[in-house]
Amino acid sequence: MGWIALAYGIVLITLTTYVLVLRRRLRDATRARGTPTQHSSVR
Amino acid sequence: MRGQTFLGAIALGLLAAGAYVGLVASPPDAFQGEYVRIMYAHVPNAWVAYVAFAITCVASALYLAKRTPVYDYIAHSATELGVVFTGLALVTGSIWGRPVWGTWWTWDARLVTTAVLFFIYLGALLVRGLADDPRRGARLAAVVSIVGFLDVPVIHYSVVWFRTLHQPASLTRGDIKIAPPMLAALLLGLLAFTVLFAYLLTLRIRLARAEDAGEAA
Repeated sequence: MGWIALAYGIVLITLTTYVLVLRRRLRDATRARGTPTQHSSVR
Repeated sequence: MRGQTFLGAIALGLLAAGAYVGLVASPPDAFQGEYVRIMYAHVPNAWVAYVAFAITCVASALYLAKRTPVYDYIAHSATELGVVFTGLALVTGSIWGRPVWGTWWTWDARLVTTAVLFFIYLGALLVRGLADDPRRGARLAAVVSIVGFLDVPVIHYSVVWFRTLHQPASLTRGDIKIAPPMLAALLLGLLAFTVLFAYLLTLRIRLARAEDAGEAA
């Protein structure tokens, strides 16, 4: 049973982490687009 | 956005159902015993990796032909997902091999060609990231991705062309070599991972578009 738990555990942890990282990066990228950057505010 | 959340919720529900059927409801195998349950995580990962690289290949060809950024967003996103799922297919296969074959790894045609595929597309991501000009990186990655896809049919038929330790396909057209309860668990796993892949792909494409717009600003 240990091998099965290991296989399913790795899949679960990897995909959950990937989804969370994608959502975080998307939130940051969307927020960055909405806020004037230092460069654009200087301009 | 709302449709994407809905897709994610469907994927989550299907994955939970797939895990229950694969881990609890389906019977053990006559030869492998309980270890056959790893198949319900291993095969769907390999399947969506194939799908991801097929999408990468088509999107890369369209990008090279038309130079429209959206095709590059799709190719980049599908490549990244394909690398993740190929990595998971290799890891789950290795864990499955340890109790069933008695080894984590063997220089078997199916395993080696899959590892080669993993490194080709990892290389495509690296080429893209290392190029000074993003558009040049996108073009180089597209070429690597199209050439790399030639490995997919080699992987698929490796168990037919070569004498391998890896088992042959359980599902081929008109020939199903698997008991119905196991087939149901496998098909549910394939469906769940396909929906999950669709969710992740839409999310990753949105990210690629948002990051590109951020860089261009």
